[in-house]
Amino acid sequence: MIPPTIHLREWTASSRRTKYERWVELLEACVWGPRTQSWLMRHSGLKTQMIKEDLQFLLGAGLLVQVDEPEAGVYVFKTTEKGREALAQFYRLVTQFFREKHDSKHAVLFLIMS
Amino acid sequence: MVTELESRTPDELDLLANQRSILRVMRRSHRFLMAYVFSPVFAIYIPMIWVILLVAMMGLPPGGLSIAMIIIIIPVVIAPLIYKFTKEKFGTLRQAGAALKEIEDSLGEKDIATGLASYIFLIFDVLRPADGRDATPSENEVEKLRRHLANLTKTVIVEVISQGVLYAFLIIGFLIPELVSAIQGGRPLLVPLSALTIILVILAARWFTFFYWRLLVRRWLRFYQGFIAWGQELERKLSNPTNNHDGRPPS
Repeated sequence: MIPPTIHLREWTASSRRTKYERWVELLEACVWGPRTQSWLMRHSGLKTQMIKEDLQFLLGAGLLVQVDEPEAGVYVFKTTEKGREALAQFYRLVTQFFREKHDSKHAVLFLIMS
Repeated sequence: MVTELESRTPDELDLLANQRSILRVMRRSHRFLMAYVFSPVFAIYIPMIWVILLVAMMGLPPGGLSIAMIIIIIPVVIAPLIYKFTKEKFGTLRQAGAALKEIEDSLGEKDIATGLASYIFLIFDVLRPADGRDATPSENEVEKLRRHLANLTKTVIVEVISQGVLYAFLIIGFLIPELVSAIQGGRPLLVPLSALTIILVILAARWFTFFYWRLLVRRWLRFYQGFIAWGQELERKLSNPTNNHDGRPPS
């Protein structure tokens, strides 16, 4: 069953996203359940050519896998284990930068001195 | 009965743990950003107007009142200009806030969250300059943000100094004479002293808010620098057929 999800990137122009940002968003969108290309296009606001290029790279790199369901007439994409690892690395990158404590000490010092 | 969480694989559980960790820090930074975006408009100028009005109401000579009126007009003119620039950022933040709530709700119903990356990049849109958004990831993007941060720091320092001058003018021109006349006339000192306290608190709050914001932007800057390096390394490794395709960022 595909879990409920928020509409990624539907509120900003996707053309402004860098390809790395788009990759992360696509990996995250497909991580908990398979997604069709049209679903990804609809929810990301990406143009057909752009999403095709991104999907092609992610498939070629083994970060996404295409699951064919010919009887249903759809092709769905799912994040692979390697893709989940890449996504986890991205998440760790985020937490790593937000957990820095030394800046707070500098802030307090600055405030005391000023 | 096997719960949803128990049915997860170790790498999925790792993802979930990371998501929860990010959500905690994001919630804190989001609250601050929401407060920060409108702080120049509401937290600074409106109390300033009220303080000046309060002084004016205490009964000043006509010359003093006209100076007070000028001081009132300055923020009234500046506030809409600032509002125009902050409106877009506020809109983005509101949408990001709705997304954050939705993510948290989805975590409440299920044990998973999606859209977190979108939220992170959306917040980055608020922090980086408008002309800094392009489709080409490069070190230049980070340089642009660094330059923007330096320019903004100068602007805010000028703003705080200007406000300091205004506050000094207010204190020397109105509050101290009022204080002296209150002492000489044997009137209570509560009102002028309260006004003085409010002024000092507002000025200190402005400094604190700016400095905390600067720290936050610097963190985002470092994060994005790391993110670009991660993306480039990912691209390099995965484009090379002889690599192990582990998807790890550069060490």
